[in-house]
Amino acid sequence: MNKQTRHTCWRILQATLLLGVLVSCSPYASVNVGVPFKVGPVYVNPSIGVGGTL
Amino acid sequence: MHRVLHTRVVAALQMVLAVVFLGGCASRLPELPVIGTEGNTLPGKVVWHDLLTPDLDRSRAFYGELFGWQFEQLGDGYLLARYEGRPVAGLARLEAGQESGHWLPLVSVTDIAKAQKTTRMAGGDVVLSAFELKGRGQVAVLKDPQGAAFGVLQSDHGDPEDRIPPVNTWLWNEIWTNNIAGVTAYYEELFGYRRKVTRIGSVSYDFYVRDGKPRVGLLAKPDPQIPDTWLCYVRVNDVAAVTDKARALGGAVLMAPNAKVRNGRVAILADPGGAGFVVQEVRK
Repeated sequence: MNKQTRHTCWRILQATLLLGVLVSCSPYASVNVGVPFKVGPVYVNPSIGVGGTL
Repeated sequence: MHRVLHTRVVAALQMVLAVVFLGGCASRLPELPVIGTEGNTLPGKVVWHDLLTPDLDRSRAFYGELFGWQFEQLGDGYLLARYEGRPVAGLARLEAGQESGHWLPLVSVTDIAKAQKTTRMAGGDVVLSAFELKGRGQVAVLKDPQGAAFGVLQSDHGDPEDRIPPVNTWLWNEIWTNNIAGVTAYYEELFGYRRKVTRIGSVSYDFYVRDGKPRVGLLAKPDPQIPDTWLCYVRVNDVAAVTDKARALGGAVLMAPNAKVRNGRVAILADPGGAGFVVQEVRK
């Protein structure tokens, strides 16, 4: 293995380790539910909270 | 000759690292504590909640301060929240680029493969196919035919018993949709629910029951432009105080406590990552 090959392998190893640190391995990591949750500024619904009293 | 050798060595190294890296991910799935009682199966019951968050540290600080939850690192990108020693929720970090958090309720099923098939047949989506969570069981993430995301859990160790929820733990769950009839056939088949309606004064409220127990509510969405969603309620002692605290911690108040809704005993909040939830005072 010449110097150039060793150098390239070393760079790949570094990049992989960095990726390993940055990327989460939780199974949920890639889940995209596409929500942004919002209700609007004046939302009032008298049924909110009924379920909590059942 | 040297160039060919160089290319082959680099390619081989890349493949080895890819295998090691992906295998490493699988082996680092979180090991979770048992939450159920052996032999207790309650299909249709929401048995767990996981927060998908773009900022794990900020979410930890927010919920720790707001509800007094304590956290334990269980794997890369996953925290277990406890309240008074009991597991109450999980917090999972989303990949970079996903900016919007979301609370994901997990509903008990007895056959997760059937749940996935039922979802596909009904026009819903299997967002994340069944995977094993050690200590917990098989989990999958689904979207109903109207696009509301939720999880299902086929437990290895039984489901938690029904009990009156203590403060700072989960009280209730709802599906927000403008097409109750459209989703009901799906949820009835998926979880064996039966739809009921109750009236309190002039207010009517749709909800699903299974084996005589109310399990999930149904509510009209405030804005037809936003996707259908599940929404989770946390029981608190003082809605006004929790609302003020959430604001101070960087959360948003989406519906402040007001006299028109449960006499001010309920509010809709969002955490700093954008995940919405409801807080409510109840006297049970």
